[in-house]
Amino acid sequence: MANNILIIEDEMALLESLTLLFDMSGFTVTTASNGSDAIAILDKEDHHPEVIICDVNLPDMPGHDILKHLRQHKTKSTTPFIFLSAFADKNDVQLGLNMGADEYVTKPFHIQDLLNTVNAMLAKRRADRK
Amino acid sequence: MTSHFELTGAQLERLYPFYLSFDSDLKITAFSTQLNKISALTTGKKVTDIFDVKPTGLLEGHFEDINGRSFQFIKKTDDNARESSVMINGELLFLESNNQLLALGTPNIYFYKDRKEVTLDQNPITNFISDLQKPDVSASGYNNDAALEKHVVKHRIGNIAGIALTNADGAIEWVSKDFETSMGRTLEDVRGKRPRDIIYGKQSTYIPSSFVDEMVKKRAAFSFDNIGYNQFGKSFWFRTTVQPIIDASNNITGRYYTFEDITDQKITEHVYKHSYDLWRYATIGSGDGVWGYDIKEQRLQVSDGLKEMLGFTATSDLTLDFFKSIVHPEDFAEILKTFSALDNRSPHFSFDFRIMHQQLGYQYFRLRGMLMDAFPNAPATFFGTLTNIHAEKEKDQQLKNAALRMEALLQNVNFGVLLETQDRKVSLVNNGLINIFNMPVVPEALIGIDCSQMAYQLDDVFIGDIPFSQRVEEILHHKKAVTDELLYTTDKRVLERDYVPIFVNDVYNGHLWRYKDVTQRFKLEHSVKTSDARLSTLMNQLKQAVIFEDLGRNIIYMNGKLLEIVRRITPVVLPEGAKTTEVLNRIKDIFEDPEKELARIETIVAEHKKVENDIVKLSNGTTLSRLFLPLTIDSEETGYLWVYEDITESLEAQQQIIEQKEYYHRILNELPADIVILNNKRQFSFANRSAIKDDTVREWIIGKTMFDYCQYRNIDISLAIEREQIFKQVLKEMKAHTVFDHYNAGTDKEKYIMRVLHPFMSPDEKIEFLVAYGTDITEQRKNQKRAEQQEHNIRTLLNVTTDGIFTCDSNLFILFGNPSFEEITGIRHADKQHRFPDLVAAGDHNKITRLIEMVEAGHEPDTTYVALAVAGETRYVDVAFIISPDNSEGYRYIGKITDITERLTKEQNLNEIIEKERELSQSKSRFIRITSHELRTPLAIIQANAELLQLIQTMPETEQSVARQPIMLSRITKEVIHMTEILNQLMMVSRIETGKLDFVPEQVDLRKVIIDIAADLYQPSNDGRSLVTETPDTDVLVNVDVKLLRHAIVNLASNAFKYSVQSKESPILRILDHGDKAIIEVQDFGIGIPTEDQGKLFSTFFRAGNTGAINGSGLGLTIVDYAVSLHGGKIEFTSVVNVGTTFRIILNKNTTVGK
Repeated sequence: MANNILIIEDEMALLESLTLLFDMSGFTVTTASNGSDAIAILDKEDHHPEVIICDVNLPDMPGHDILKHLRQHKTKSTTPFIFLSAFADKNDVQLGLNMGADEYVTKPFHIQDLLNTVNAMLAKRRADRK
Repeated sequence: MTSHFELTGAQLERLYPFYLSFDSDLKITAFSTQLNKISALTTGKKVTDIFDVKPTGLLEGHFEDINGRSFQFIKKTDDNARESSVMINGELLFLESNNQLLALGTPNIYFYKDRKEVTLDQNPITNFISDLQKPDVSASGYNNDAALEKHVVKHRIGNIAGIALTNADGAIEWVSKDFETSMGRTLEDVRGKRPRDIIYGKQSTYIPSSFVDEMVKKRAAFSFDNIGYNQFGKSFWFRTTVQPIIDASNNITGRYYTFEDITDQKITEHVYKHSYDLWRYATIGSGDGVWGYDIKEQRLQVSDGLKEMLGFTATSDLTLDFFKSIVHPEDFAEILKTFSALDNRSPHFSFDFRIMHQQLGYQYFRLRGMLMDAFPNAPATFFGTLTNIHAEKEKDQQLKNAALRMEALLQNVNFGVLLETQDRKVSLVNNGLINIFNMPVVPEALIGIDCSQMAYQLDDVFIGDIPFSQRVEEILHHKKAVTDELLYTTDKRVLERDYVPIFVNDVYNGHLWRYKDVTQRFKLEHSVKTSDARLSTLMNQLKQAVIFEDLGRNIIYMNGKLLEIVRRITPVVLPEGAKTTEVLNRIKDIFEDPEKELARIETIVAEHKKVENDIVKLSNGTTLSRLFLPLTIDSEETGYLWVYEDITESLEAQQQIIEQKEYYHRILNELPADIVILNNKRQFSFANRSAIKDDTVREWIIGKTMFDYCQYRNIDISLAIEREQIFKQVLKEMKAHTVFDHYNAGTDKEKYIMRVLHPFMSPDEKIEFLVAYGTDITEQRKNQKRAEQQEHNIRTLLNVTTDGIFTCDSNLFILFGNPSFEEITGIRHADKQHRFPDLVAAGDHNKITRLIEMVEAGHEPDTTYVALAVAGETRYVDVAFIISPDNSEGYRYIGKITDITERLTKEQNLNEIIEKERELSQSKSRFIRITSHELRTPLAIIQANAELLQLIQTMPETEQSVARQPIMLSRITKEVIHMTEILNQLMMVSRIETGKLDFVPEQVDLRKVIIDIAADLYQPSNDGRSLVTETPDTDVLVNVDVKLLRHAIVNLASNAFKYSVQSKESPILRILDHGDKAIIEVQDFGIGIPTEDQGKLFSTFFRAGNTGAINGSGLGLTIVDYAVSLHGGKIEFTSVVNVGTTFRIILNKNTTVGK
């Protein structure tokens, strides 16, 4: 079964590009272009993403709120969570990590780096499960 | 209203026993003693106490005059509970108390109460009434029973002879006592009979009973006169009054008869008629006028002869009032007095008075007559004659005048005259004699007195060897004239006596004594005798030698002093009456230089003029002062007076004074001050050496004035005038005056002299002399000048310093403030009107208190800043105080305030700038952050797609991958364009901020600009919407930089799409031609701008809260705003969240704009 990935990104051009990237890499991609859609997806019983990539600057809420929601989720709180943000300042990165993100990837980025990070997380997660 | 003015007292009372007179104010003017008695008996009070003189409330009810008409007076008592009154109804008397009739009746005998007889014993009026019944025989002159009876009749009040009450048919039931008396019947005798059966006899002229009964039935009261008889056969005239008595049911229950005895009246009428005839007869042919006056009727009758005497015709009607009017006013009082004194003891009168004759003016008449009261049945009358006595009176008057003149002469001579008959009875004596002998009598009282008796009584009055009376006897014995005989009285008077025997035809007929008081003359003579001796004594008391000479230069008198002076040198005898020249020759050696002195005397006499203070030196060193005076009496020269005074001693004393004066002058000369003494005429009497250095001038100036001085020194007279002003002031104010002189004789010799002019007063407060002293005060002046300069410097400093300097008293009231203080505080001319703390804002008062406490405690002055509330404006000042001693206030504060308002404002501005810069810095970092974010996002897309393209290249080509490649490439292209846009805007902002933006306005049609934009950019948009344009039909010409304006409009249009993506409606871009304005509107139907963000919308990098993920730099509107303002236009917007936003650029048309 293919790995599920949830991508939350308001810039449609980028979201489509990322969808293409992970689709080509064998992921089952679920997308959301704003915070509320994302939370709705997370709250679905039948949806279990293996990893989540989330923008910080969303139109309706900061990506931090989605992370907070996730970490408090009764079943999905340990899901790996990667911030993908144009806020590249050191403080922004530190803030994101402090909030419980597993990785903080700044824009622009190399798609291979992003794939590696995601895969590394999945491997670690698998190792943890075993 | 005294209608009976001629009658007073007993006269009136006899006619009207109960009279009471009022004036027009109803005040009682007189009342009878009998009325008073009644009053006392019934009320215990006097009439005046009952009938109070005050009319109000006291005289109540009706009252009328005394002539038979009714009176009623009511006196209310104080407590108002009981009323008592005396009522006189006609001549009936009522006594009433508590509204109860106590008694009524005539004063004759009878009293009734409730128509029942009153027991007289129980009534207080009894005694009075019995008194009243008994006529005063001695007073009236009646002395027999008949007269008594008549008197009783006369004195009744009214002539009621009785009252009878009958039943309805006229049968008597009751009669009064006076009825019984009058008729000589008792009630028992007459009961049941009709009155007419009792009182009218056969000779009566009576009214038929039937008529009476008829009248009664008609219920009418009526009366008629009859003659009746009493039981003794005495006839009376009766007036019968019948009054029916009617009860409440209008039934006649009885008759009330009154019988009035009118006998007197009838007789009087008869007698009067008879007597009038007699009188008329008697007066015809008489030389006198005859007259009569009826007092009660007030009727005057005069004979024709009387009228003629007064120049009237016989037919003239002369009334009393007319007579009164022609009586000489001066005689009127005498006439009244005469009439008033009349009574029946002395009813006769005779007096002379003047009446105005119709033709001849006032003439003397003699009025003689008597009060005809003794004529019993006639009315009271004066009756008499009038005789013209004018001629007689005039002759009499002439004689009288002659006698009066003689008497007046005698009375007014200043000596006493006593004329005696040969038998020594006084026949004439004058006031002078009375006065000389201090007799307590009038001269007339001595007429007829025996003088021999009087002489003995005078023995004690005189002092002398022979008693007064004995000497009088002696003189009378010799019957020889005695003149100027002196008599001395015990009271130290001197009298001179003359005795002149009077012989008529050689027969001794009496003698005249003349006494004169010569005391004064004696005293005078005595004093003249003694005055010579006194003068002599006085002359000898003088310290001057006095010589009187006659014109022949004989010595008339000289006093002892002259001898004394001469005898000091030579023992000569100077006989009185000797020739002066001879005497001088004899004593010439007494002079120091005899020849010169004698010559001098001759010269003086020859010159005939007054000589004073002539110095005579004697050989013994004595110095005499000589006075020569020609004596005149009534401007005729009578002799010479020489007076010599020894002035040796006074000369010596004078010399001493001179020496002393010089001594003081020496001292004054040594003093280092200018001292000048002036007399009250401002003449110099002394000047010291310091004042006038030149000895000659100093001597010269004595007796001169400042004017003389100026003239002498040939200097400007103004100095003298100036001094004169000061003198006048000193003289006027009588106090010292100070002046300052400034001599500027070159810079080195500049001198200031203070001159004080001090007046010295004589004991009578007049200025005797003035002392002027001058002191050189140059040094002090210079110091003062320096101090003034210093003060000036300080003042200048105070005036120029920007610090506010001020002084306060110990209560912090501001005394003074320099100009800067005034400027800072706005207080002009402080002058204790403000307390400094009151200027300070309330919150800073404690600061002032602390400062004051510190300086008071002796600490170094501290500075603090406080807010001053000045004219509604707050100024900040640094304030500091020091404490400074002060002569008058004890201590004061000197304060300094420095206006730091501006400095504080600057600091505040700086803070604001720093704050702004900080904000700017913050917004710059936010700018960088956002810019980087905005740039990173398209970069990420570009990079991701570029790498995806590479990735696809490495993978086996699929249909899908081939289809994806152009999409990826277009994404890259689009993001590059996006990035370029952002960078362009950043460039624009940068140009704006560095002022490097080009602005090239040109005139264009706005419509073209709009249409171009719509065509170029949004036709159609990605989401299918297009930009709708609305433009007017005609040109809208504006002067604009097309590039810049286009940038602004594009920005707004792009925003309109960007923030309305959810809307299906296309944004509208429209042009409105609005007069001189051109309006560009950009309207969308998008998310709108929250109200709270609208204010900051044009700020750099600001983005509204609801923009979310919509791309934006936060720069667009900043640029738009700037671009519009560069065009001189303005930008507005209206926006409602989720409804839409309309931006409006308003531009001025036809306006050349530029930088």
